[in-house]
Amino acid sequence: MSETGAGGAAAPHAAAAGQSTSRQEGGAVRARSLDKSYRLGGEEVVVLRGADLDLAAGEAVAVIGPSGSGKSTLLHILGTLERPDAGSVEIDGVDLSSLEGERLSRFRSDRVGFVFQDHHLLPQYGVLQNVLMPTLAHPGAVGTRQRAEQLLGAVGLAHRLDHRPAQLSGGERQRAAIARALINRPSLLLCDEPTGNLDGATADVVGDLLFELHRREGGTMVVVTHSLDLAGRFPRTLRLDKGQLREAS
Amino acid sequence: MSAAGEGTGGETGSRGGLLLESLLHFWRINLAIVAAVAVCTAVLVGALLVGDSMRGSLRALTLERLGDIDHVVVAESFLRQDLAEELEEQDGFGERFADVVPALLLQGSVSVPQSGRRAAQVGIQGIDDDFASLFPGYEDRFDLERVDGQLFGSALVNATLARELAAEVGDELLIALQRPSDVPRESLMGSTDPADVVQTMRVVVRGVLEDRGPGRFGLLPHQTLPSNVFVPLRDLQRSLDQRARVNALLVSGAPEAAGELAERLAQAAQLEDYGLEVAVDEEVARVTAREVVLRPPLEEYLLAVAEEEGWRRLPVSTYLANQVRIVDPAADRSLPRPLLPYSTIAALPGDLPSLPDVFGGLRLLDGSPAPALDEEQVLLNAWAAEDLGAVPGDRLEIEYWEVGDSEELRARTVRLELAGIVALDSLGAAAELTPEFPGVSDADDMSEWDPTFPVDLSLIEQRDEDYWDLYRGAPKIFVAEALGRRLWGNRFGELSALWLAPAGGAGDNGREASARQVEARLGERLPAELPLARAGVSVRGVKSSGLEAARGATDFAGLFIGFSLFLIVASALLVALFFRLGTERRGREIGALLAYGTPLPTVRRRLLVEALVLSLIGVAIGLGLALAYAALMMWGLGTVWVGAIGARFLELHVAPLSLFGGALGALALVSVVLWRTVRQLAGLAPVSLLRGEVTSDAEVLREARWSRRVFWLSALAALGLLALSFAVPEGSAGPVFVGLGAALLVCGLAALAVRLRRGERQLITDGGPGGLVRMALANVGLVPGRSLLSVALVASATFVIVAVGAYGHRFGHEDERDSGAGGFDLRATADVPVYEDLTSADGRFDLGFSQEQSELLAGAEIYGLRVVPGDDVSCLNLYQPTSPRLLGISPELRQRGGFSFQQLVDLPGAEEDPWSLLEGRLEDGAIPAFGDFNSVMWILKSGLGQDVVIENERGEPLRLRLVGLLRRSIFQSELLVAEEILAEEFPSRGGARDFLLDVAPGQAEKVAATLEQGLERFGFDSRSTTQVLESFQAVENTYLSTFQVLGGLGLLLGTLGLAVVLLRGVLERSAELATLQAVGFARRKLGWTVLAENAVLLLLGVLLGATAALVAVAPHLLGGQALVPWASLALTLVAVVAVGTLASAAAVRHVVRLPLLGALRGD
Repeated sequence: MSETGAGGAAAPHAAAAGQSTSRQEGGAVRARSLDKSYRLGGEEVVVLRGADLDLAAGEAVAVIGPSGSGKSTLLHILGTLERPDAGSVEIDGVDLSSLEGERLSRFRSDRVGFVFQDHHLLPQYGVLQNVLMPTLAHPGAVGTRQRAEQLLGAVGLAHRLDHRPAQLSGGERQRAAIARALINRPSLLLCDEPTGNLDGATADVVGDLLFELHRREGGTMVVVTHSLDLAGRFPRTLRLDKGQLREAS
Repeated sequence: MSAAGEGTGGETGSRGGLLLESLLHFWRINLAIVAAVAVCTAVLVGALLVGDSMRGSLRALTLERLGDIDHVVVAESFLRQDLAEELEEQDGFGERFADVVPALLLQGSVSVPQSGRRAAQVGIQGIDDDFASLFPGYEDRFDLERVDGQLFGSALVNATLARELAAEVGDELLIALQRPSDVPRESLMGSTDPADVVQTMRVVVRGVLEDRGPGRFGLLPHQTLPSNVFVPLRDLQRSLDQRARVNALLVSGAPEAAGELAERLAQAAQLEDYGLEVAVDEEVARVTAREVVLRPPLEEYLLAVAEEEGWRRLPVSTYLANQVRIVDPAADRSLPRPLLPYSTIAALPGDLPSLPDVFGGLRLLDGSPAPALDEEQVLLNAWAAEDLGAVPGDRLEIEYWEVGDSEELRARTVRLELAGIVALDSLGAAAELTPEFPGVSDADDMSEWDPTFPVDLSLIEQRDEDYWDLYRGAPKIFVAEALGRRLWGNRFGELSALWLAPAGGAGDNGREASARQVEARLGERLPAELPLARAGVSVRGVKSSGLEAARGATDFAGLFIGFSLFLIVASALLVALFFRLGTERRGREIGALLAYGTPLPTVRRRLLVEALVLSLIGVAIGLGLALAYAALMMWGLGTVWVGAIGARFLELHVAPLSLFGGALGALALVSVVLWRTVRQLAGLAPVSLLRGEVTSDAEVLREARWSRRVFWLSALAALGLLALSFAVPEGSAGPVFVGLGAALLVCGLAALAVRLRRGERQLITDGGPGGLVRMALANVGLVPGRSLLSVALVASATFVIVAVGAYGHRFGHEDERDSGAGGFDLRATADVPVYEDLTSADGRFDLGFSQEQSELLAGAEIYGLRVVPGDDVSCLNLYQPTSPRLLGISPELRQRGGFSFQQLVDLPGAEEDPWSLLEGRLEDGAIPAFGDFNSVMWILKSGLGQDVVIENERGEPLRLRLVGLLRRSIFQSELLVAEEILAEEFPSRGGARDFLLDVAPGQAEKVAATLEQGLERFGFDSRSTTQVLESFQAVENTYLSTFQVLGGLGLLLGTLGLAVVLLRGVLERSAELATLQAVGFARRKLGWTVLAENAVLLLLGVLLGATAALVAVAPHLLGGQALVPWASLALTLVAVVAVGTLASAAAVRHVVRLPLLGALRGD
């Protein structure tokens, strides 16, 4: 299936989504002196060493760096999936270290959206159900189905609501994953190599879609990527090197 | 196995190395497969070993209780003790047989006078010094000599009896047993006076034998511990007044030569051993019987021999006339006076003129021969005629006793015409015509008579005494033989004597010598021609038949395989499950192998070789576990399940055939399961496998199609079987029940398969518990095969637990006539037959009951039953019975009816009055009989309309035709026949030894206590019918609980499998779980999701199993007698779910601790 075609069809849907949803405000990130290391094969591998990061609300940033430089770890720390060994992270003024257990997962559910290199859609469910999954984490969400359908329309999958992931192409799966990431209107969208598994054309389409949705949905977007093409499209690019984040030239 | 290994797989050594490497690499799942195979093997082989152990233990028990005894010569009456020596002295006897030990083997009750404790159904064994030689190793235990100052004889008791009586060495015991009587007690001359029937004997305990070897001695095959007391043979003989006589010869040697022993016995037998006595007087040999009358087979034989030898013969049937009066021709009534009291009356051949002179003959007063008599005529001797003043032509009325159907004496009269008066000489005054009547013949005067029948001594006058002084019991009255046979002949016989004389008169050595020749010839021919069995003497190969019976009435191997079937299936399913998990994990590896070009058969072969190696390891371990499992079952049957076998005697016996056969069976079963799995997986396209797919779309579609077909087919089968289950009788419903249960389970599983494969179609928008459950349902559908296997495991085990639990039986309605107790409250047994009628005031008085006690008993409905001892045919006896115990059902009891029938032959009136089926004989000569359905079906392995062949008292075959089968009755240990038929075939088994009592509400205990106290010397022992039924039910309950325990083990395996499946699923789905965590699911919620998946499978299994079980047992539940412990059953199921959920805690714990982020990165 041609992702170009799908991407071309995405714009009107995205517009529709934008018309019916308010833009997400917030997403300011402030990270200070982040340290993180792992033990791998008996050796300690330092991936973050006093890394600092400041993101304004609504900003879109690409993070590049060599494999194993700690890009994904940085995303996981920003997304509250991991805790730094040292340092602090604030999102919209909330110190993440003050959150534990249920409050932490609630925060993640409400404020953070993830897109992975591998889509990680649940094979036993249809596309619509997959998109709705984050809403099941904490009962009480209302009108979520409509939003899910709108989002799927925005990513060009309105006609594939009941399809299982196995019945979709790679690009379609990733688009569904993007819709899932946005279902709870996160103020911070974190994408870990979102086009890493896709061919060039499809990667472009997915890249377009991310920018389009960011524009329409608002919030802050951090994309970790090896793709210099994709990174080049961001107004700001950071390089993670030797555990430090620096502005890329 | 690894993909990398393919290139180096050409060499055998490398292959072996790779195989080992592969097995070790996947050690966790392989360990699980080995464990499941081991369990499967252990259960299958263990069940076979249980069968081995049961047979082996019964066999060991047979050898132990019989010692060196191979044969027993048993007499209904008595044998000469000298026969033992005579047998041993025969030529060649010693080459075939070893010892012949005479013994008196009786049954009675024993009490301790000081404590009042008593024990019934005790084996009273009279033994001599040689008995010990039959039990090598125990010779020094049989010291029965009296010590100085010991007043009473010595006795040894076995430990069981000692325990029951709390008796110790030095204690005195009172033994009560039946006193033998030469004269049948139910004949006119037999005594039924309790004082004559019961013999007591006081002994002193000299030793206690352990319950092993001779302590377990007994001829009847039964596994329960007998109570035995051993006393010196001579003491017992003296006590019973049976000097130098015994009722058993115990023979060792040549176990298979019972026929030869019978022949040798015949050679040694003498007329006395047939109960015959021959008095040689001048030229006549007078053959009489110890029993007063000649038994029909003997009479028939003697007459035939006399015919063949050309002897002259005079059949004599002498009886007693109570009174003889002249009938007033005008008034047609007898004149009150004069009367002739208590005179003997002889029936002789009617053609009196033809009587051979050698017997003396009868002459009229004028010297002419007495005329021929027909059945309307009578002759008086001169003394009687004068006494009565009777003249020829007078009609005489003769009153005599007739023994009624219930052995009661009824005065009967017959009127005959006086055809003549015979002279007081020769037969007209022959006391020899009258047999020895107990209490009569030895009296000096008639006034001293103490006969067994009622006499009014006031009627006896001096003239009668004078006649007695001169002529003793010489008959005064003569009738035709045919009339005599008709009037007082009975089942014991008709002739009191047969006089024989040689045809040629004087022999070479004079007249007397000729008569002696008759005696000698008889002694020569009788043992050779008439089997001793006809005289109630039989030779039994007790050891060979005991060992044969030790094969058991119940096939315990089959039973336990049946019990363990679900466990075997569960473990086989686990093997499949684990193996599938293991191979699915290696789908990519298989795909790579195929992609490299490895031929499919090679891939399959590799997987199968691995599977085979694992299976062999599992089977080897399983064999060891099987021994432990069988030992555990033996322990269980000796402790918690002892109710099933009633005794602790089981030991582990291992037959190599069972080990190897069972191992091969398990291996075959596992191989089939593994082969199917390999075939399925290796049949997928390499690309699919490389993608990590373990099922293909085509396969999913095919399976979905199949699931739908299976669902409809099994639903139809279930409906059909459900309808059938209401139609078939309860006892035959087993196969239908199993079929219905299986169909329902399959149907439910097929429905679930359809549902799982369809997936979750409705959108889940609720994050609460409802949504959680629906998510769980969708998740378990991810790998439907595994989920189905898990549900099948749990459902099967639940089915067993619920179905078995629902098969409880309700008691407490025994007062209803159609219950298993027939409305009777008590059932009692007696060691010594009770001849008196407990239902009559006179009978109770004779038995010594006080007026108050008698009135209490009068309020009870009491039925006494005759008993022919034999094998217990109930489930309480593990040996295979061959000669069932028989009960005689009296006409009164048949008239009363009651009980409920499981099956009846299709004869007119059978439904309305089933007990009438027992009356008379069937057209082909078979005897109608009833049995309990369970006993007939499972123990005798017979059925309605079939024959059970046994031997009657004369050794003749008897065909008992089963015309009715009782439902769960108190008669599970015996077969029932009509009392009158029993009396005909077993004439010596008189009196009642089994009793049924229907008493007023609240009186049962009092009546039981009164009877037990009053009839203590009879060994009377009563139990409530509820207890009797419960003792039988205990066996079934034990089997059911065994079934439940094994079902529980199956459930354990099921939940274990479930936990493993869950854990495996969690590992496979770690990326999915990590994603859920990333989108906001808390770890705890993820844990709940996993727990819900387990709960869903568990609940589905429990619901399916329970529903299938309840539907399958619906006919039983609706039958009215089901006792379902709903509460405990529900609790069990709740416990099952709880335990199953706990078992999944490991998986949940794993989820909560899993480092999920690695999965997101693809680690």
